[in-house]
Amino acid sequence: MNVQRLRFFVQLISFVLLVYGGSFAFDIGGKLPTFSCVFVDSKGGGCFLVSLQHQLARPIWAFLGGAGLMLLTTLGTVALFAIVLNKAWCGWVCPFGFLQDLMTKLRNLFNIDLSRFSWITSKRYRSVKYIFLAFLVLVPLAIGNLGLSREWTAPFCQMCPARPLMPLLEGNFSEFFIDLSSIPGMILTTIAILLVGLFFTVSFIKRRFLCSYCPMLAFLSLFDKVGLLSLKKDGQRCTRCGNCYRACPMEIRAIEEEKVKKNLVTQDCILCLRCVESCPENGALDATFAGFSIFKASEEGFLKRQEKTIGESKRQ
Amino acid sequence: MRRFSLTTLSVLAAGLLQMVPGSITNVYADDSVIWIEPVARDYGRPWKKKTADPSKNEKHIPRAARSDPRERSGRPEGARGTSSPAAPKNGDAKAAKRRGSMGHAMRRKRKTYLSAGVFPRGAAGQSGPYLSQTRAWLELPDNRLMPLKLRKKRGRYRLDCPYGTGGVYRLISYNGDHVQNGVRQHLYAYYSFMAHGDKPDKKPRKQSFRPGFQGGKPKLEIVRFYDRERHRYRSRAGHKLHLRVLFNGKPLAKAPVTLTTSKSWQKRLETNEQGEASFTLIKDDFQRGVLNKRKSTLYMLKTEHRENTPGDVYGRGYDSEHYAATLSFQVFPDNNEWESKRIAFLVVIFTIVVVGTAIGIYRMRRRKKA
Repeated sequence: MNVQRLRFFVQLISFVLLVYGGSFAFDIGGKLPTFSCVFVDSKGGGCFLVSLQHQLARPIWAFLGGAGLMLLTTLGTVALFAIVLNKAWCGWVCPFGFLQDLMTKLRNLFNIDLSRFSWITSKRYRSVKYIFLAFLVLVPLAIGNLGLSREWTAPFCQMCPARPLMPLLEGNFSEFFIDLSSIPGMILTTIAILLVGLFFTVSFIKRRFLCSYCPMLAFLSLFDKVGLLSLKKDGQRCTRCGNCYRACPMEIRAIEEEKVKKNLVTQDCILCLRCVESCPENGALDATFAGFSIFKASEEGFLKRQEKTIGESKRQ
Repeated sequence: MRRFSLTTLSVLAAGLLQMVPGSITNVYADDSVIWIEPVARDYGRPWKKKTADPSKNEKHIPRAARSDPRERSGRPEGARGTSSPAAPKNGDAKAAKRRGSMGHAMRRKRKTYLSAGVFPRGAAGQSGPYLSQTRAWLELPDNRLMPLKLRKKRGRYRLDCPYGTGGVYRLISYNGDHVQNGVRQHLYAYYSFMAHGDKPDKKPRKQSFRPGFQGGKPKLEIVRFYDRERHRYRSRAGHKLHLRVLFNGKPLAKAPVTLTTSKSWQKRLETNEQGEASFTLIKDDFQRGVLNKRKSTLYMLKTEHRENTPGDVYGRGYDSEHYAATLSFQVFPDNNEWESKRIAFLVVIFTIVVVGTAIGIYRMRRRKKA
């Protein structure tokens, strides 16, 4: 089975449904743990971070009543989604992630080499997503309780690169701006526009560049251990060839180095299953759903895929 | 001295005109209407609990009370700041029963004023029979009508709409019991608002309220259409306003439609064969100093229709019926006043050039080293 081809089609379908679904009456609500921007008019589903930020901007005592119930409903729905698909929301569903994958395909077309950060550098910059997560939780709470200006409302949405970028896909330029009405608005929207600039440049040298900073990934990592979809490793069978590390778009070194831990869904893993596909050792890596194996690394499969790739490159 | 004389004279003239029966400010003249306007909401401050100490409550005056001179003047001093923008009253047992029978948890409340006269400076707070006898209904997202109680609060007529589930709500008020000079006046006022939250129920629950109008539907209606669904939530200067005028549920051709802004600027159009007309919302509020992007002004659409059907109401005969409907809505400043797309494009191009060049130079150096 060519998992990456399947993943591409799943991503394409989810992209069409989540970005243009509203045009043909498709709507799965606004509590999805994926970057389906709510500022797209024809969206078929919305990112839950918007409602979370709005629901958190209330006084603490309000959470004892209806506001608390609403917040619990949001978190409960997201938890349910996260438990079922785990981080496959990022690797298989996220429309913004799909855009980054398309940029990677464009990079392949131009034969531009990839760049890798050093281990220490990548470890440092990956922690930025936790800062973003803390920011999007604490700022709304400060608005509701400490009297912080309403200009900080939905702070992450204001600085999210998906907000100016995703509406462009339906020809809508209304979100592509820098807000000059207030200092917080100016700072946050400038960050968003800078991230758009980085998206168009760094995507040509790094795969899934913006996913490393995504607070959604940080939030979903809370459900790593309870998610039904998981990635298992048999350390005894691993030969540390490094294929999995080279294939990983998130450059997670633990896939190669981990020997003892069985669950390999790390904080940055997006469950794209490229590592399983590139592993030549029988049963060294195994993607499971509720304990049942759904895709296992095998020498036979690896060779088949290699032959196919070599054949395709010869034809080209 | 000059200012005093001009202002005073105009106020005196307006006051004298109001006393003259049949003058332009008479509520039953053809240009008199009823309209609904929202109570301005406080966006600037976080909600704070009332304290027992009234001097502390003084500090939390809602912006509405500060900015609206009519509200300020109509309010007794001691009552300042004692109203909370979000707290529903729980004491009314009947209201609680009504909330329960609707099947919705109607916790939120949209507060509006009902005004009459000539827009925008109407006879607000006037205690005439026409306002007190006006009836009002709230049309829920599932098309059911919920009767509303008109209350007089601080000298103005208030309509408070409790609502719960998300969707589009329409506030309808109607006054049709009065006959003046042999003409029966039917005055309709519409105001719609969108509530965020869960989707409305697909299956209408048990009909627990009587339909409001004779025949179930208002006779003269103004229905608004939107270019984008988002515009329904917030109209801004520059947006297109599409409307259809319906009489007895059918499109009304060649009906005069007037758009009036809060600064009295007017534009008059006639509906086409499909009963439709379109306006572009102009900027009406030129704020001084720092722009407040959340400050809205009220615009009003008005349409009229006359039917030569004689009849009588409460024993008073009439020769013809005059229908007037208004649709009021808030208009916010245009985004382009504070959003810069040009700077955004420049920042993106600058980032691409700088980062791209930096990557290129870095790679070239590394290659040379290798």
